[in-house]
Amino acid sequence: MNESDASDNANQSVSTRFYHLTQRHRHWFFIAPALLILLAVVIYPILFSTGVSLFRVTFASQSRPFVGLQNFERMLSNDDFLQSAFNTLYYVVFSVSGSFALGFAAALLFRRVTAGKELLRLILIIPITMAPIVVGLMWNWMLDPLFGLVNWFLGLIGIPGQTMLAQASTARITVVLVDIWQWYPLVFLILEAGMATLPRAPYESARLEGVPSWLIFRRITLPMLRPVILVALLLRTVDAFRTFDIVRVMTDGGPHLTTETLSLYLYRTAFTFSKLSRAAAGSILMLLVIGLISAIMFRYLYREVELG
Amino acid sequence: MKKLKTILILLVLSTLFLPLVAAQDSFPLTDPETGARPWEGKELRILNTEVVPILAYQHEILDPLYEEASGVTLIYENAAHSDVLPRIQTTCAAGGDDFDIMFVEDGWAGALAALGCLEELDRFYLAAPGDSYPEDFTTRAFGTVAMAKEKWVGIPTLVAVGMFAYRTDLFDDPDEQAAFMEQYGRELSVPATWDELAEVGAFFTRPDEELYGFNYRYGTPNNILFDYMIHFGFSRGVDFFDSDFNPLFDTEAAIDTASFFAGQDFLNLQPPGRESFQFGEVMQNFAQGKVAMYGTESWAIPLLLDPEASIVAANTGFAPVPGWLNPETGEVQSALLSAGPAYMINAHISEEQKQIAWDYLQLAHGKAFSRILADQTGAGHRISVLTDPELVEKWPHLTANYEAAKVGIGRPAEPWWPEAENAIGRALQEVAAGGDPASLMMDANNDIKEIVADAGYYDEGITYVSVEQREDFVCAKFAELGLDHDECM
Repeated sequence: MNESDASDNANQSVSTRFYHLTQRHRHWFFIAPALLILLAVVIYPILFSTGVSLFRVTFASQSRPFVGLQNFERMLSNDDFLQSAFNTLYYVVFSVSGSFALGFAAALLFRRVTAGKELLRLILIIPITMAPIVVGLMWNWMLDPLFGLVNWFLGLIGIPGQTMLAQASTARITVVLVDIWQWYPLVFLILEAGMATLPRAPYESARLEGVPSWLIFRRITLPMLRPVILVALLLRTVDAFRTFDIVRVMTDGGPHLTTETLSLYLYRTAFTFSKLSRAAAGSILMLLVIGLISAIMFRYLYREVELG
Repeated sequence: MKKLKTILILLVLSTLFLPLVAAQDSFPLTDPETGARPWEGKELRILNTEVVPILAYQHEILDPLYEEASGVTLIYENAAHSDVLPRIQTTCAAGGDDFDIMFVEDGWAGALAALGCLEELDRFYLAAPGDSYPEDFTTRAFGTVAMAKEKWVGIPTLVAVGMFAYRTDLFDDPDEQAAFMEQYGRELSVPATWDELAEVGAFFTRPDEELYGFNYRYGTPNNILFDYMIHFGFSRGVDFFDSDFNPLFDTEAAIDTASFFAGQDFLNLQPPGRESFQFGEVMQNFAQGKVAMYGTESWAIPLLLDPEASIVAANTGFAPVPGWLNPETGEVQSALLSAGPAYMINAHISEEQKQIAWDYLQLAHGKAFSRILADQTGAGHRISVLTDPELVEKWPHLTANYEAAKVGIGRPAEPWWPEAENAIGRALQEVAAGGDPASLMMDANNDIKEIVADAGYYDEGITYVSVEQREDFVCAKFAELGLDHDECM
């Protein structure tokens, strides 16, 4: 073998190695653009916020002293923050369960509809097509104690005017009900699409064997739909956690903090009161909670998918 | 010979450059009388909110006049009131030039001045005063609304003073008068004290007829604090801080006021939903004839007198805000407040845009246009308007507005004030929800102390700028600008 052959072989071996290398890792080329965007718009801001939360920073601060975990301590001992956290959990629990129950029921009933399905589906999804701000404003007017449609109807049946959004005892649940009204169509759409993909064979066999409907639902529909249900729940939970617009428009967190969600509280802390580092600490805490809940749900979801 | 040559060269050079230096100092303005339109074809971007009616009427009446006179196109962005401060703060912190002119409430000027985003107006005035006449405002109002401590940063778009609106058809009705006499043993009259207010309010509270005594704003911390101070607190002797910046919301006067204003007896004389009422709801309730009386501010005047906006426009009267009857002196102490927004120029825009912004401020919110606005709507805030005999004859309430503007107390304008305002407002909201006034006000007071301490005010020994000091700042500024003012003599 002369020198030139040896060189050719060496070149070939390098190019082969390079080819194999690129083949082995080619998936990185496809996901790199998305990964870079994620790094820029998600990971970097999170890291930056984490950094900010360790200093004392306001819009106007000339110096930014390092304060360690002081902002976290202040947040965790702040009554308004804790109240907002409680409100957010309340919002998540009742809004997610409410919209899920209503959406699931609508999807189950929808299966029995034989005529006008397309039109009915369109009507059912109207709330989700509206901007949350519009929904908030619309319900604000409908619930107005003096001029609102809801109180007008209540008056027709002899119930005196109610001030749902003005009372601490009713404001929270009223806002949750409006949120359920807006978002149950999302659950309905996901579950309805999931149900449409279920195989017919298990149902036919069960019916042939005379299995009652409720048992079919419990033993066949529910287990087969479980991954879809988890996706719907995950989407709704994350969405409910970051609720901002409906509350902002309907109550602006009032009366006296009963409807203030964490998003609203942190927005106010950062942009109205200029406490940027404290708001950053609060948002990191919020992120940890959402992350934990999402991780549990994802784990459960993937286990279901693998088992399924 | 060489010396003469040098002098000659210097002379030639100075004659060449002097006009350039002078040209930098002065700039042309729109003048409807001469037809000068130096900024024709340009655009001006204004961040605004139309939360109170006067601003909407200004937009409808004054802006077309300015656009016609100047040929400048005004581009408005109307944000919700609670969104404006966050928008400006974030824009300013980023050095943004999204807006040329910004709506700035008196309580926000400190926060924005600390960010360095408010352009001082002295040089524009000195270069081209136009129709601005800053001395045409009372010193209290100007110091509160247009200045950030010693700096002149805005032209007031309104000077809000406490007002009391009532329905003349009810108060002048012989049947109502007879019924009131029978029930209370005295003549029905517009209330002058807190107790009379509660009594007359109870008389007119008739839920079956969808009529209530009065209504105030309890819906947001900002709103509730305003009505607490304007209509009740100041007259009872409540103040914001002592000279060392110790908050004064835990005093007997402050707690008494909270107990009265946010107490259940007082709330029960107001329409349902009162706990969430903000600007719009209270105005609509009065405009729709649902309440007999309405404690408001001068910015509500145009809407209340507009027959297209209020079904009781023809039956609306104005009176001074009811005061607190001091048991020791037997005198009625009146409520005082001077507040309001000014339009301010963004420091981060180009020099040309700043000059266009000044052109807009001096003309659209200048002396002549203010008279047009007052004539058409009954709302005025310049001395020349409030004391104009012709206008006063047409709108008698202007005299009361003038007196109030002369003695009004403004909110603090410290950078942290929005947070302190939120703390006390929340406490008042909790009182309205049935909480204990004493403990809530004390807690809020402690919260405010913590906010002040956090800002380093106690450590640095920063002292509170009293209203008198603010007046001194204004007088000093006017002297600097070569302006005379009766109140500065």
